[in-house]
Amino acid sequence: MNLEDLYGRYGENLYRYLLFRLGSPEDAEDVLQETFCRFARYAVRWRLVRKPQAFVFRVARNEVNRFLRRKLGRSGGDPVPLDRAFSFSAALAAPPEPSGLLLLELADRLPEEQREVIFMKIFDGLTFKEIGSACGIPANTAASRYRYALEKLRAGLEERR
Amino acid sequence: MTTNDPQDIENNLLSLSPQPVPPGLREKVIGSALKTRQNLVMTPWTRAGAIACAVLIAVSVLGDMAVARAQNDNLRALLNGRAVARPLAEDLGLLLAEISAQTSDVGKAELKRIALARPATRSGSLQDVLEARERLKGWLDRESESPESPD
Repeated sequence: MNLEDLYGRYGENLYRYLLFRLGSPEDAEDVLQETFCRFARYAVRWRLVRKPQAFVFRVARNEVNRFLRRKLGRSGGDPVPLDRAFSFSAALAAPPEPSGLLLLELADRLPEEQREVIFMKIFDGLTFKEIGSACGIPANTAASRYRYALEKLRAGLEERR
Repeated sequence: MTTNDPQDIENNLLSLSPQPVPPGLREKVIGSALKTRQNLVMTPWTRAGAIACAVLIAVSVLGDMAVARAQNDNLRALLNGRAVARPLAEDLGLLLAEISAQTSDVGKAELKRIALARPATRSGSLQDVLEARERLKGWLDRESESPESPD
């Protein structure tokens, strides 16, 4: 798989995921570039990668962590403003109908780890096993985080009715 | 949104449209990745070559050590357990010093020639030590049989 194929398959999904993780289009672009540079540097043998989708998300996730560490280093240890990190509203267009807006608002209130699982499952189409590989957690943990998140969303929606 | 069934919630989330990807992102990302690849000092092939060379060097060094040790053991066994290289060289030195004191000029020249061959033994070539010793023995035999012998 060359870089063009790789981008064709995962590029846009990765961009959206990075936008969700970082909340800033500029940062997401930077990290996406760094992720692809890493693929180019290591000349990954894709035939040997068992779960390519999980692998690319894991690499992107590691790049996000490196990026945030660098940012923290540049800020001299002061807290880095990440107001829109793990934000559905940064990665998704504002829906026209109020029910959609409410759902988005509720989703943004979930714990970060649950938001990440929801995003990867629904918007990137990863299986729980792949989410587990990408995030370094067991597949069962990913599944239960997803279940709890949906339950919280359901409860929130009931409450608002 | 009609019910709050988990399936409905999933569908409603799915109906939210993602932010559009900025135009030109593909070219930017692929361009910088290709540039990175071109700037690599070690391409995957050169890296593989370097690793293979390192392994070969390590194997040859270890192999050489193993062969040297085996040869040393063999020689030690042949010499009834005596340590091989150093004592032989020392023996040879003593022998040469003793003989040169009581031999003719021709004999001295021959001994000198044999002695010059000795430094090779310092580099650990046991074969050279043994050859020098054999030659010395042969010369001593000839000396003892010849009429010009001092005795």
